[in-house]
Amino acid sequence: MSASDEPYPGYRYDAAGVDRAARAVAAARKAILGHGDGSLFDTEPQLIQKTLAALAPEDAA
Amino acid sequence: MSLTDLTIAEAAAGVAKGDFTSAELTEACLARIEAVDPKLNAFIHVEAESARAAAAALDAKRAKGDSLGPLGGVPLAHKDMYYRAGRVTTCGSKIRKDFRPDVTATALARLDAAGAVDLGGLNMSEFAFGPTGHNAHWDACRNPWDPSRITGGSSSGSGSATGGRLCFGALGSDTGGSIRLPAGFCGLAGIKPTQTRVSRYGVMGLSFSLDTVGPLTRTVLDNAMMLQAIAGADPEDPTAAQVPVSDYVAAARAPKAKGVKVGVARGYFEEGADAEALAARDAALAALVAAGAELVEVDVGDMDRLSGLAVATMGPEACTLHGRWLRSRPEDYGPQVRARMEVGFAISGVDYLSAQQLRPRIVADFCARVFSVCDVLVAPTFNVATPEIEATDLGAGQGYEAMIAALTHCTRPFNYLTLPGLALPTPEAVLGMPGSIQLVGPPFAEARLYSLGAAYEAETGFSKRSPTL
Repeated sequence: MSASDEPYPGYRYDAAGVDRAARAVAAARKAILGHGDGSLFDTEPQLIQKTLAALAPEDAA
Repeated sequence: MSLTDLTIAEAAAGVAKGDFTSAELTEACLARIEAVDPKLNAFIHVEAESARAAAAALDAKRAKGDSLGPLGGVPLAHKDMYYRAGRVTTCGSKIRKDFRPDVTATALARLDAAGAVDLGGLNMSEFAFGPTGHNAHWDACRNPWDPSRITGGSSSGSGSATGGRLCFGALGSDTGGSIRLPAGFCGLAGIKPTQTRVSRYGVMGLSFSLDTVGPLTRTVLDNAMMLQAIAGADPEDPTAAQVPVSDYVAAARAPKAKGVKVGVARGYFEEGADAEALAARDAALAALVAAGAELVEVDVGDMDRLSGLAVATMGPEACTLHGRWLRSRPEDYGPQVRARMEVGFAISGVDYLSAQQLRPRIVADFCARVFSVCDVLVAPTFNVATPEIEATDLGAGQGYEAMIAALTHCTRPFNYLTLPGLALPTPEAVLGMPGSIQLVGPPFAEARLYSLGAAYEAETGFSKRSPTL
């Protein structure tokens, strides 16, 4: 059994679901790989908070 | 003029001065709900008894000479996903139709502290997952400007009830456009603040990286008053931003367009657009110029990619929350919600985290590209005419994905970008229905949006228009 048949324990896609999931994965990967060729080494999700605080303009507070 | 036609600012001032009581405002809203809600289906549950008790307590407090707070005595209502301890919170679903949380959302607690009255829980898309206002369990919410047309979603009842004068303002939530779309379709001001600006404690989650709490109101000042009451750090929500909160009310009371560089986003935002929607957008741009703003053309780059990244982010997060229910009781989800949600199972951990870890870089790049040449970006909130409920009642059938993509085309990228967006009505209608633009700013620049929005409101007079029901 492949992950595409049972993407979550006990949950199965129907044929339309398989198609929708494949398209979503393709769109996500295209978007991920489409953003330059830089490595994601030395990154982590929490950096978003630091980035937002740094980008806040002077009139934001 | 009915009491329900007042703005939040006028209603709070009237209670403070003793022109009328909170009880009178509350009774006016309850009467309006009884008369009009059968046409709109904006409420899932009306809490008349507790609202009357709260109003009476506030009136008694005022009679003793105490201050009621900035929203003192004003009846609001909220999307039925804000938890109030002991009260049913359905999340617009069958699965949670009897759910009684044991905590109260920080946003509700802060509105209570500001003196607001809570009229009850508003209709919404099931689990906040849908941009039209259809609901397979609680029936579609209807637009006060034309009840045959959609309200937009997922904060459908928030748009309908506030636009229909059933309450003075409402909280919504925005993961892909769910505040800005119903605000736009229902002729209101609606802000998606910077993601994490408002605590999400006690708020039903859909996608914790994208979910954003914000208000829908009839005026810019009202919107600023509600956001002022709820914004800021919260020990109960460690993800809530620590950045100091600006004086939004002062900004809304000081309209400013003169000297403001407004970037016009075309390209992506004009793809698939109806000509009437773009004409309404152009009328809005003309109003901004008339108010004193300077327009500059801005190249926003590849926005399509941002929608793909938003799906890669939201899908796994939603499936993590819903996985066990999707497995054990799939028949209790509406077909469209289930079909859209289940794709999240297929996004790999690496793809999900790649979307997360690209985000700071993409946000920084976007802000450098856009806000180096303008102060505020303007784009349509939606670029199509308001569809009919029947025509968009597609479930998971043919054409639903294209319909949803079209409706969220202009809003979803900004959720991935975290940026604040203030939706405001266009000066001209789109085929007889409200049109809408969104003013988008850098992170935490909500005050800038409010001061420009107030100038735009003064120029267009959009808040003077009201639907006939």
